[in-house]
Amino acid sequence: MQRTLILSSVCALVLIAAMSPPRDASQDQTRRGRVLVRASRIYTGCENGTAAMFTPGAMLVGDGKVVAVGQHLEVPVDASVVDLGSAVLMPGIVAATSSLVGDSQNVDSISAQIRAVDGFALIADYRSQLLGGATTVYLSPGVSRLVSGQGAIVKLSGKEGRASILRDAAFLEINLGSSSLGPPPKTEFPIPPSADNPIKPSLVQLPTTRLGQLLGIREAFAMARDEKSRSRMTMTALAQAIERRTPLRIRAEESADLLRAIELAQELKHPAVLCGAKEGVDVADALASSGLKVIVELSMALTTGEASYDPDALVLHPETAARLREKGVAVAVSTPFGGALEDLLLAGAVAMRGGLGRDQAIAAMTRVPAEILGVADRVGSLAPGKDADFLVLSDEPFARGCHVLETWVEGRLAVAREALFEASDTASVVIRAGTILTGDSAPIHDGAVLMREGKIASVGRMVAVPPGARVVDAGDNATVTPGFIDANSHLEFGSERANLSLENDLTLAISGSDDNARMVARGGVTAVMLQTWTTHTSGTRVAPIKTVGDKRGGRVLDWLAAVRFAWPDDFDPVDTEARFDGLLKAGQDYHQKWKKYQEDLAKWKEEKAKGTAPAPPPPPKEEKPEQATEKRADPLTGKWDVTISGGPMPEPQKGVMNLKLEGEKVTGTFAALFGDDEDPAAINGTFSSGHLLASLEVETPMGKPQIDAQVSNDRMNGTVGLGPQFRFNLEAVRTETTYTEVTVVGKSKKKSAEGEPEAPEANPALEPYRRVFDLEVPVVLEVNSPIVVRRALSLFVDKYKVNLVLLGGRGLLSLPPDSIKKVKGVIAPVQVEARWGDDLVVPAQEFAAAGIPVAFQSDGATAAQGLALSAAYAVRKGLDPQAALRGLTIDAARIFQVDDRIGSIAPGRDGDVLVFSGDPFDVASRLLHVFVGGREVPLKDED
Amino acid sequence: MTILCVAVVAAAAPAAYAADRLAIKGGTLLRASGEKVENAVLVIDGGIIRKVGGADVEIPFDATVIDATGKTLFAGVVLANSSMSLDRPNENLPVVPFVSVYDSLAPDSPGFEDALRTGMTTVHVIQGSNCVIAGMSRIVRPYGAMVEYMTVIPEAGIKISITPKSGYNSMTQMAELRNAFFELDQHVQQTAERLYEEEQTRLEKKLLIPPDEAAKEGMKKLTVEDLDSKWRTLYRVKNGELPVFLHCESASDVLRGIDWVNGMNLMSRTVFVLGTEGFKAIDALKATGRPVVLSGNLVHREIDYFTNKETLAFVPKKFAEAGIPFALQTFGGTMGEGVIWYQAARLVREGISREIALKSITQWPADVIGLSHLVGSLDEGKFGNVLLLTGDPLDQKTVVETVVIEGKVVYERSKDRRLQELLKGEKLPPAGN
Repeated sequence: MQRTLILSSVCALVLIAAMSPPRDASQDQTRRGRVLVRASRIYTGCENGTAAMFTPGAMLVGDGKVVAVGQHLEVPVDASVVDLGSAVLMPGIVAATSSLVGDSQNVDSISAQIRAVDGFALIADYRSQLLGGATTVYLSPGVSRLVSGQGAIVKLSGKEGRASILRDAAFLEINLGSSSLGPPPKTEFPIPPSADNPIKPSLVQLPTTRLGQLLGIREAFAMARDEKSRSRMTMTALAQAIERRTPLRIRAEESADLLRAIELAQELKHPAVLCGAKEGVDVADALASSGLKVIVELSMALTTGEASYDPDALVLHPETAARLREKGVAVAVSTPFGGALEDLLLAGAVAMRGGLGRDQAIAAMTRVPAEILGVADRVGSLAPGKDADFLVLSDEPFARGCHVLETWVEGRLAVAREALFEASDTASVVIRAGTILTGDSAPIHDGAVLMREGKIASVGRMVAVPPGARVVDAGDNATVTPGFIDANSHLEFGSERANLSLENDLTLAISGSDDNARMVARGGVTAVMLQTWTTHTSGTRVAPIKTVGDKRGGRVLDWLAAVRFAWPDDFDPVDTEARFDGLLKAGQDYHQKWKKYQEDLAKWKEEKAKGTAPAPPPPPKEEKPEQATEKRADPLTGKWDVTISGGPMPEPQKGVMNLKLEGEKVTGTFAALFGDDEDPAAINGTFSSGHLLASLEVETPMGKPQIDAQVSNDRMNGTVGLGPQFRFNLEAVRTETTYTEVTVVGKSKKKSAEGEPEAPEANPALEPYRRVFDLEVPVVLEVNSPIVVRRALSLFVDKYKVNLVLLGGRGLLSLPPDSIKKVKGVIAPVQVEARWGDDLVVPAQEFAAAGIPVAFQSDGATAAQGLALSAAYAVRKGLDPQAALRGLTIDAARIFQVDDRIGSIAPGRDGDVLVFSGDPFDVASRLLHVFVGGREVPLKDED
Repeated sequence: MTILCVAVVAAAAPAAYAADRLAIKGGTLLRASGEKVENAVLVIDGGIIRKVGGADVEIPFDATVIDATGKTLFAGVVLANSSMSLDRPNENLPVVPFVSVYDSLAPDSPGFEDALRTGMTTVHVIQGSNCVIAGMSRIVRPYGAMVEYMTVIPEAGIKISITPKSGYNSMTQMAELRNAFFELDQHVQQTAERLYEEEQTRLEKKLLIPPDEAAKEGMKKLTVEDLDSKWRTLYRVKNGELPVFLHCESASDVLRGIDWVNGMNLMSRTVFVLGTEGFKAIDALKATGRPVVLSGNLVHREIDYFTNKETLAFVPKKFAEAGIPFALQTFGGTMGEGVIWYQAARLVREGISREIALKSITQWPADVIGLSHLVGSLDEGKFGNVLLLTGDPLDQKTVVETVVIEGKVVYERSKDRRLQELLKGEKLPPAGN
């Protein structure tokens, strides 16, 4: 007997030694580079020695361990820095319960020989569990047997990126309560069955009652201590566990079971911990006086499709952890057996709901379970010497918007959420700030903006935080505004003073994001109205574009935002007015023509559908199309001087070909200039698209010679083939051409079928007018003197009824109010302050005070990066800050009629958002973040 | 004239040994290394290759001569892991070391016919992997009227599976595996005790010593015959007397298997039978220094849970690059046993050398089954298992014309009635094209 024991122990010891994580041959002992991690806050999970929290936090990690942790640490020379920005760090969660290896459901009621470590796959994908926050996990062998086996403790990743086993036999699991009642009957087959050794009926196994459970454990322990019963492996395993003082882990949910568990632990005089404890609050005093540590499993009571049939499952006891802790019980919090490790953070949140403070909840899921599981020397807290296992969170631990962004195990990034879900445009961003100025409505205080897929999804006091969303908490002093709009920008034209007319499409000047545009974006200008430096006399286009976007398409908002004209003061007013009148008339006529066509077309389609279309007019008499005769030479007909060389011929030979082309058919003769004066041979073949294929009508033992050549510009190049084996090179030059008379037929008019209205001819120079007269885009007129302004108003607004925006427009203010109202807006001059007459004024303020919507311009290329600063300066000089903001955002968008896309923070608009560290017009404020299309523009240059 | 007579004799007596000596001449001998011997001569006597070389090798006057002009001579294929002809690959009971494939082998199975048709000369017949501990396997030649005549090695090894049997999980599988050896130990102890007591009784001694002492004494006299027949095979396995074919489907199973084997001190007797994922534990496998048998499915396919991206890996390439010898099989793949040549050709297509491709169906499986001193190549001293092929072995147009097993012509394509029946009416492509 003893021999067996020694043998088994030796085997077991060898097994334990062999259970060390697999090392590959290439691993060497050199120290890996150290990393200094910085974050806005680090929760260490510590109780003594190291503080529980550092704000901000820094942690030095080396060789898989925490070297130092504090608020600020100096960067050692050999360390690289990882700046996690606004993220919050906490130790990796020690999941004190899990069903990661399933329930073994071994047939024996006492299955002490079952080892959870056998069910663990060392090589497997644990990214999902790691992203749930689990770095160290207790593996349970199951809950459906009285003694279900020996649990193990594993890590889901490590220095080398592989899972590893910390303890292969950490606890002996005992399950009291309903889950282990009624085990299946046991059948043993004698081999071979015979009359002496028959197959006996299945053995009914105990326990079937709760009392039976207690009796069953007592009996099992007694048997294990008796040598005689060691003939069964399960008893031997149990005996070993008892001898080694492997701690018991007793599962009990209901209060009666908890009391029995306490009794059992004391009776057996064996170290034990309790787990489950759903009704722990009811027996809190008994638990406290027992001194036993408790792993509280907090469940979520989710309804998932079919209702749970266990009424107890829906009963939530969130306060268990808090109340037990108050009584002095050492409490760890975990998800229940059968719960997903992906929901670990929820368990912590439920614990907080039940009364635990955040620090306590963090400790209850990190340091305390590590202590209970006996692995606190390695994991559970971020203190010097411990494994560098930590979570990078998007928010405070267990908060509503808190998700694990990255999981690091032993100083190595094990998984990053961003890498798994396709980033870029589909990434969500939540921005929180003290003040949100949406552009139009009242400011929102302590609010948030949610951006998804490049657009604003919602804005308000609270917004949804989707999983994987990046949360930017700018702080209470920060202000969020819509992206700024530059109403007159020459961004893409640099120093190029091209004079483009109305027919030139400006969007063709744009490439993907370039450095200048990005510089402007960093200044806060997210969209510009692109115009050339000079305005053509017949007008130029204004195109709305963004400063940042991937590819060209991402930057173009529209092909047209306005049509711009210039009416300088020194031009002859009468001439100029007449000129503009002419332009507008032409534009209007064009617009009318197209409008009529569209109406006719719609009407015709309608009638066609109804079947009441009028009979098509009889086709007009067949017009004889124009005819003319021309002399043209076809590419092939004529006399060709031929040279044949190559192949088996010793010397090139010459000859003469006479060819005639009729359609695609080729006929001709070939006469060789060597040998006897034979009759020329006939040639027959085809010619199309420059390719001649012909055969020589000469019989040879290898067949007829085949000509294959390309013809162009009186030259021929190709081969003459003779049978499959011989091939000669053919070159020819045309020496005489024969002209043929060819008739050229004029283009005949296309007849439209069935009386469909004919579309007018499109004219790109006039196309913009269609949108002008549809009132989709305004006319921007660069004008100053009051007389000119008056004339302009009467022409553009009174006569032609277009939307008019003035650039400069100083003279407007001298006009009566009802004239002023005719203008849709004014683009204020570039100078913040100007001398108007005797006064030093802020022009923008003058317009704003008169109630005219104002927009701001840079009239430059990269000068726009100073636009925000100019506005701030203007405010300092007396411009109403509200008008300033509106002028940079919503009013500018409205003036150019692009306010459906940009200019405000509202659901559906583009995600163009600025985050200032304070008041946007306080010169002391900084721009913290710039978002265009939902993506952040990095504020520092990237190499 | 003499040759004609001998040929007539040979044709008239197909079943019996035509002659004790067989010589094959005129063909091109091809080795796995790529070495070619033109006009090679092979002399087989008593089933063993006595001489192999070029045209200068002397042919005994009384040898039956086969003219292999225009043919390629190649070593017979060795199949290292097959359940050929077994009516069921596994038992229902998980631990059955006491069964043997002897009881299930069917010599008349069409599987053996096909084996000859495709040039297999050595087949290791072993139970499948849906077990905890299976029974005794056997190495046979696919030719013979009775199992005894087919047998080359009657006790070749035992199949043990780390991968759970159906209905089991890894925890219960390992517990069952350990329990089997535990019960074996129990039985051995009890038998030893009994032996000692019987001895004492016989010698009329009345020495009373505690049970473990008695067992210790009894062990000195214990032989495998003393044990119950149920436990004999497993006892021999435990003592390292029998090879262990360890089935490990997943990479984690491989690691678990390596740990268990090391714990049992059986590494030197273990061969790993892998699934497609096995290459993920290739470093651990390399460290063991043991050969492996690859799954018939040569491509490992994985779909990333998050990105849905599919990754494919050609498994033999990983082993070729790591320098681990491997045996090919078709079991577990989508093809039948007969297309092992196709498996080998696929290796070459994926960039593995011809040498490795050809070794993986001859020398390396011979190593795996512990018979490399007798089969796997055409060398002096080894069995005369020769194939006469119509061309290069890896060329898809090549067919097996003649199979010689231990100096006896056991298959000729021209006389293959079933094949001719199948191909009737079809124009057979001319040999060698």
